[in-house]
Amino acid sequence: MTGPSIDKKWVIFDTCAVSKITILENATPILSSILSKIGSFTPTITPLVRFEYLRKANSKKEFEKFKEYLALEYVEIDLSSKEDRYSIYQLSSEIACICKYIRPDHYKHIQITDFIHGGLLRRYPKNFFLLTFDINDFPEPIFEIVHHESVKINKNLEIWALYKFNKNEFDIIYKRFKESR
Amino acid sequence: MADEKKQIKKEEGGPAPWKPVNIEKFNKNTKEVSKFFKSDPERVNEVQNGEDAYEENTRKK
Repeated sequence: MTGPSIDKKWVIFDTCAVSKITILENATPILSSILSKIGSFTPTITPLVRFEYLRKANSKKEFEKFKEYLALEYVEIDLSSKEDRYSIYQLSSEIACICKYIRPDHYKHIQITDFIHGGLLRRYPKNFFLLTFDINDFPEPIFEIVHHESVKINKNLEIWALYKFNKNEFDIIYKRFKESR
Repeated sequence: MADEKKQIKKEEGGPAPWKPVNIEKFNKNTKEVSKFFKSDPERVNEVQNGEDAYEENTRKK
């Protein structure tokens, strides 16, 4: 029996993934599924996810509890360096243009956080993956689904997906975009 | 040399250190936080319907 062919990667959890896993209570099926594809991984969040999650707190006690939870279980991507920030924002803005180019009908529904996550996947295409329940916000073929599954949360059947950046497809579309009028 | 090491770290994992998931510990801490959500059905609804539901509920308040 062979194990996963990829190992030691970083998986960015977007806000809906962190939130839905929280109300799901038991993340074992999702985490085990990811581990079956990636030998080991670090759950990762961006400062934007931290903001979106913490603003759900209704009291100081909740705020502190949520903050402690994020710090314990997720590694926050450090974008304090000007160089990193500039690079990610630049890549993200190009991702946004390409998303608008290939999905003009859905573009306005995609949040800035999603573009930043897209920029990070593009910056570190070999090592960064993304876990989300918002499967319409990461258009194929520039984002490729590595794995997807459904999970029942309360009475709803929801789909989560693990994405990676597809550099080859992005380059082809970006070339077409630059040549377009 | 230090710059080179920094560059290698960046290429490997980006601006995030390596801290592999421990499912058991992850679940234990998630259950602790979920108590706050489960006690408030409106908040569960917000989570299930995304950030739009959050904005709408906040405006109503």
